[in-house]
Amino acid sequence: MNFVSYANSVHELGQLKEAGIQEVILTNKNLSRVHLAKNTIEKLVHEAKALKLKVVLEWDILCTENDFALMLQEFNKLKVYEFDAVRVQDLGVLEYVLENEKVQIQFIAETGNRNIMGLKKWVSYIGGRLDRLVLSIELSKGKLEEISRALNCELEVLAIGRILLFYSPRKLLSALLPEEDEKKQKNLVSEDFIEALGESEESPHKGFPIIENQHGTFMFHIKDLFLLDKFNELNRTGVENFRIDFRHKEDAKLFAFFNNQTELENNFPLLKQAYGKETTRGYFNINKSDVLFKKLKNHRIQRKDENYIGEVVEILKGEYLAIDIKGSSHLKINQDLKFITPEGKEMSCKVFFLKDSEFNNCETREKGELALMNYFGGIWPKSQVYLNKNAQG
Amino acid sequence: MINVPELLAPAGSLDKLKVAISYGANAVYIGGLKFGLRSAAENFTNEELEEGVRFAHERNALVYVVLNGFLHDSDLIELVEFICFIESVGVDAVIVSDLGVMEVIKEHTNLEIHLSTQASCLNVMSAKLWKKIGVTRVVLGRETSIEEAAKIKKEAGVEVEMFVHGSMCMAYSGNCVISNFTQGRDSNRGGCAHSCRFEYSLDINKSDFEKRRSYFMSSKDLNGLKVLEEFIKAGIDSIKVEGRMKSHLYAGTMSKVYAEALNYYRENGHFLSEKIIEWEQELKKVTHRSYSQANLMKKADASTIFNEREHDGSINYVMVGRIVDQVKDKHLVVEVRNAFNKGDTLEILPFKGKDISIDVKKIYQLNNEEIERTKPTTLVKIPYAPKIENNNILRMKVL
Repeated sequence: MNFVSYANSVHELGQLKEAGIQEVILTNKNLSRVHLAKNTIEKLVHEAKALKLKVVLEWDILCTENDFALMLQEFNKLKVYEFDAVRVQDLGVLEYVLENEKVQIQFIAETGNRNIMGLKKWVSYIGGRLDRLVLSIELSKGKLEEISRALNCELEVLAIGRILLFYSPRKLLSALLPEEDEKKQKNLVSEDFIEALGESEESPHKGFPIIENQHGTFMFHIKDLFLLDKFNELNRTGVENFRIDFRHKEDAKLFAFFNNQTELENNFPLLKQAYGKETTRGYFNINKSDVLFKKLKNHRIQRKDENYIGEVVEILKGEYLAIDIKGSSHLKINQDLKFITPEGKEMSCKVFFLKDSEFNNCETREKGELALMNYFGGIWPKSQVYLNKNAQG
Repeated sequence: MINVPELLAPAGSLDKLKVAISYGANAVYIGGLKFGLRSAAENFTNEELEEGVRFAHERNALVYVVLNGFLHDSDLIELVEFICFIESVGVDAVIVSDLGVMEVIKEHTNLEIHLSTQASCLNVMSAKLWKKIGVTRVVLGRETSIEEAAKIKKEAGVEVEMFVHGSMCMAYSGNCVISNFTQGRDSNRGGCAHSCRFEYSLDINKSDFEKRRSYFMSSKDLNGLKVLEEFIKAGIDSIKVEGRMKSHLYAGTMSKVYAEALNYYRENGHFLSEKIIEWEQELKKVTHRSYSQANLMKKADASTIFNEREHDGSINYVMVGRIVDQVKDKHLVVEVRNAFNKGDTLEILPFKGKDISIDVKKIYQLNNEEIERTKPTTLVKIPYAPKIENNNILRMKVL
């Protein structure tokens, strides 16, 4: 089990080293979503190298074409060869780095990428340049296990840290600051970093951390992800690398829980207690986020193709049912029909008369036509009409 | 004749497909019962899908099927049968965001693949990557400007499609999982709960600002009508209207307005400001949030935040029904969606040309009994008027 984390200062690099963490992710203001470093990236690289840490540059901004050109200028100012890897999410950035640099790539596959077939294709596309795939926290432990068995590459998943819910390039907080209060606005915006807590009108979701910076607005879950108390289960997934993101905590003591590598299993529950924020395991145990879909619409009013006639569009009590004929089966006198109402009730009825919209008697009505037939109680508009093959033997 | 972009309209159901194409869309995008992002839409059964493709092709229109959910391994097994089916009925392309889905499609079919906006393709290098993988068209992320889109088309050598109208995600598409973690519904597999439209109280920078109540994540709707000429000049291949969940009136109005505008430019090589004003008035007759051009011409700024609760207060027209049958010189049969009265003035939207205004002097039930007021989900007869076709939409101004 390897741990990967961020460092915002030379001091934090020392803490990481002391905690036995061998890999550090460094951010750049113009390339990274969240950049809180107190020292220059050049200094941090230098110090991290001196501590023999693996050093990774994070370029995780998504960029439109014009932004891409600006970011590229910034990227090219860096001595990319000094990094052991660059971690990227935007596929344009991935393609650029593949084509123009020699550095290894950590590909952030956290958005989408839920199936092995797609992940395998990314592995083959990036080829020998792939250092690691960073997987989605929406994958359950079972799926992580399957993926690690199927893929022949290093994998990483977030183990502790904020859960990013929303990433917009628009500046949504500064837009709310009152123009007339220029002084306060200037004060807030001058650091190019605005923080807020959001409460949704949908109780109980209160206290979403939100930040705005030059790259846009980011909203996080009210609870942080914490998987390390599932030490043995994490080990069983076969994922080798776990990301620890304490950047928002500013609590130097937290890394100390990693100091004694032989005691990790015992230390992590203590870390959870010391963490000082509500945590969740997210979808680590199981992901059932699609089970509610079948409740989103009434399947009873969805037509099934076999023996389909059409839909009841009007009922005049005691007089007629009007059917919009949509299926390829014709409607004829003496046919037995089955109706499925929006409530799911099934009813049968024989066609005793058929009329057109002028009330002329007809023998048959077909697709695209309106048909009026004898009234039958208990049927509602939107009921679906089928030929009742069973009744016709 | 000047080349203009394809007009691609949403079709949440077979009825809406017929409406969109009848009113002038060159292509529609539709969803099967699975694998898309609109689980709550009616969507298409296989037979409806086959009928929809037949209807479209008979009118020289194209049908694209959305398969843009982030699918799991178990979905991919079921997907094979579906994609073989849609290829067999002549679907013109599929819209995909997931690499695994693309691999399955390439392995089992020769279907043309369009990259969904869900994949957030925003720059030339990204488009080049997708082209190598086998995509023939990219639906660009809605953060891209028209100028950037033109560059992407030219330098990556792929077709580009851009949204021209409709609701906007505030987040980068595919990068919002609020529903997933707060409602237990995966937004990227069809369960978006529209959490961005909720009201939030904000405590900013722990400052002395009082808590603000705000709809800060709710975006204004996109309306690109005024910059249609820019799309044309940039060589954009397809302009897309958002809204598979929206009404027949929406599908019909959008298709009619944008088709008329594109045809006008094709024939005349320019727009007249009075025509733009006329079309804009039509667009305002469907339910919408305040309009903005979002990122089309410059980066979306604070003015693009809607910051209001969703409401129907802006509706000034309602769809009262559609023509389902007619007997020449006698009557039109209307399927009523919203009630109207004897004496009301209705507007009928013909598939082409100016609206037809009719004063409803008499209303009859189908059994010829005269009534004063209609009820929703009923069929009524109104006096015959010429030049009206079945499936024409009727709307009425709301006072």
